[in-house]
Amino acid sequence: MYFTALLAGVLLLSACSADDASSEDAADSDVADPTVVGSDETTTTAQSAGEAETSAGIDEVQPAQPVAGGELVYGLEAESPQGFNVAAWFCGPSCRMVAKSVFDPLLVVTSSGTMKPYLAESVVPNSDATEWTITARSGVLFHDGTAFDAEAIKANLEARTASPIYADAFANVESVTVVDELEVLVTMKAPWSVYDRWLAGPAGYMMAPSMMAAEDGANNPVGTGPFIFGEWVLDDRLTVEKNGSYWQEGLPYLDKVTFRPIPDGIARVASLRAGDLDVMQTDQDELIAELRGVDGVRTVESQLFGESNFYNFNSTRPPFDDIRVRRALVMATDVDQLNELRGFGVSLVANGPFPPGTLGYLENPGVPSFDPDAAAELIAEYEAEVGEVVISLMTTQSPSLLKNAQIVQEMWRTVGVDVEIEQVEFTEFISRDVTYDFDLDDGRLFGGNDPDLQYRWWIGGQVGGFTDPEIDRLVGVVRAATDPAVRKTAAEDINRRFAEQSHYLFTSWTVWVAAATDEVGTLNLSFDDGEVVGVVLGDHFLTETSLNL
Amino acid sequence: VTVLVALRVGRIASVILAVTIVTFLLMRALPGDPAQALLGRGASPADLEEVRADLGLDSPPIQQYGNWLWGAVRGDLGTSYRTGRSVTGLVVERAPVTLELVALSQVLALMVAVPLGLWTAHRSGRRLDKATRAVSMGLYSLPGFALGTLLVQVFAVRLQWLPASGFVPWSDSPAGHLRAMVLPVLTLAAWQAAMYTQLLRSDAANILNEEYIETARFKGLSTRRILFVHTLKPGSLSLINMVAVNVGVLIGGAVLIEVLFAWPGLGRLMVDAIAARDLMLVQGGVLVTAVAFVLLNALADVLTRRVDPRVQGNGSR
Repeated sequence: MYFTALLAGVLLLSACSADDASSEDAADSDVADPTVVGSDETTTTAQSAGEAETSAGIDEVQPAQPVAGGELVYGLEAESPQGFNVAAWFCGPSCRMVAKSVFDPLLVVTSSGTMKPYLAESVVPNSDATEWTITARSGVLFHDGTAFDAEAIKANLEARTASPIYADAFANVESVTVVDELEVLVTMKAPWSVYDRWLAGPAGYMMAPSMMAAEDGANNPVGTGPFIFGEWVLDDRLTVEKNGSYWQEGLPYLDKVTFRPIPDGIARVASLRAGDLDVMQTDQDELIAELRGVDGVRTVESQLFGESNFYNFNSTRPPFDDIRVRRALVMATDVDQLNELRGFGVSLVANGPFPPGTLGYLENPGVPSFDPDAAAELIAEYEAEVGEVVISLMTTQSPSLLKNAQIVQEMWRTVGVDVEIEQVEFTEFISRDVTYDFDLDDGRLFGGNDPDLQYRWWIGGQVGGFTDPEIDRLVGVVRAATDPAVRKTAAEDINRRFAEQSHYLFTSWTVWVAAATDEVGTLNLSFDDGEVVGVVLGDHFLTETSLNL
Repeated sequence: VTVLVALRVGRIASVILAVTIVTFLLMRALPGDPAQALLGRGASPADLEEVRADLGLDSPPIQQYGNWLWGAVRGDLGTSYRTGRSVTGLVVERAPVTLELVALSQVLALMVAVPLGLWTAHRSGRRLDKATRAVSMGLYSLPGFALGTLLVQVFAVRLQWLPASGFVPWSDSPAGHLRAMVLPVLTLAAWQAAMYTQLLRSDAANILNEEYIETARFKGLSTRRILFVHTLKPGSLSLINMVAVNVGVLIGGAVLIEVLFAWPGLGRLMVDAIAARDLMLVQGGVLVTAVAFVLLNALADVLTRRVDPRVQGNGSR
């Protein structure tokens, strides 16, 4: 009985952790490309166009006169057990909510896609993007009283370069040099035109050098942010308190924020409805559908830069090393029906790795249409040459992913493909995924508004194991080219190439929601020119949030 | 007596040792790499090797277990891979939360089950007995998390009398602490009260047919005295053992309640640790629950013998 209870718990929690961990992969992706938003190519689907105001993650509520004070209780979808050393560990949406309260990023990306210096005074490349000059905002202090200066920036950037989670992406950094008290020069090995986009995510959150040096620093975060870390009881609550000396005068409004990790989505919604929480985050379609109908609660929905949900073909071995089988499964999958059946129609049907608003998005990149007859012919042709197609679909213990798997299993059976569903724990899942010990698995990845943020996943076919020199070339262009038009073309070509080669089977783009009660003021961060930063990839700032006291 | 105590202690120690060895072997046998779980998808082989070395996973299994056991004997259960925190500290932090939840749920369950079990045994076949059996069957078949969700929807969401989730330390607010306790304790106690009631009813019904009970009735003893004195004591042997087993199980197994109510309990800590292959934390948690389990069973043996001196050490007469 003891082990039965434990096993049941494992099943329940693995479902949560699978989702959390996959969203963590998109952690450093919340940056935007101003060159594409609003262009003709970014025409949204009917669903997103109809919800343009909310789907961009912008909160419509803006109190005329915010009142200072009060404690806000925030329901997070997960705990951050590894702490808040954002250079050392992936920082998922829940981690980023806390991190954005304690740390400030060097830059931010507004909901219209504009890059804005934030904690940095400026971040500027030279003409060929081989050098970047970062200038610190002067007069800013970390919570420990030390100055935010060039040395602090250097320590932070070097920590990223040395970190296992950023090493691949940041291998292009040659050196970080302190120029003067406030200025740092970052020299690249090769041109990197979009380095700044990384610095708007956790890679650009500035931690105090004292925190990075401390043995227990991850559990005692120190930054320059609007709130100062208070107390943390793992799996229960983490509190932050108002930074009275914040560099943005008059902010924040809240005296205190208590973050509560509530991994069970139903419990999180119940807590919001019961008044235990003021705000909560989620990306679960069924919860979003429910929250939309709750009186006294508003949903701030964000489809911007969302992660892609997809099936990942293992191209290193049969049968998915053959494009005919990959293509057949793409043609055998009715993604519209899949989205309706499993996602309440909340998520956007995906046609590639780039959702609307992201550089590279195309209304029609050329994904093969749903055509079970043609799919069956391809399978028959392959089987006549090579042999029967019997595959295993590896998934985690998430109920929603299992439901997806069962739906596609039935779709693929009709074209002559026998699929065995294999449910494994997330730790086993990720170990087997990275060692290509699977036929087919599911994933949620590629979130972010610039294709360069996927560099480490696609270069050399890291995710899926495909060998595609054309993808490698295009990813290189996206990283290095300084001409926005060249980058745009390359990104769109990546999209077309994925559609043509069927390296992945894309099903939907994630929708993130922050749901707040009517007592809560705006979730936006605003600028004098009218630009705002709203909810992106599940997190947002609380700097200007207030309570109706 | 000293020899008996020594034998008993030796037996307990060997059981606990065996449990930790089996746990260690099981965790080693599970597929999945703790280093990969920590670093995620993008880690290079060199990074993974470095983390494995940091975690001590590169040494031979026997050495890993030996190091852990030597630390455990000295009160150091090591460091959790996943959190970087002391396992001893985490267990000490979590154990009181779970122990309070389990203890209160047992008290509540017994407060309901003892009078109801005795009374339905006394009035066997009557309406209350039938109704109690029907309700008990319903509670058996209703999973704990379903009952909890139902209670949350009624008392937290609709009526807003109680919080839907969260643990409030007594030191922060005694009233808040008690309010936060109500729904989790009620959820956990409900099916156990049903189980205990039926168990006691069954045993008590047999005892009520004994000749000495008839004699007591002829002597004019009150029904209350017959039930609570002459029936409860011999009728509670199974109940005592069942409570002991349940408490042991729930110390590590109240995880569904802890997840549903977002409580920082021991079960949730363990399940997260297993999922992340946090070997040190799993070992520490299993050690604590195994010790609790064995001690509770020993306590149950002692109580059983007090209740009925004819009972032997193995719980049989």
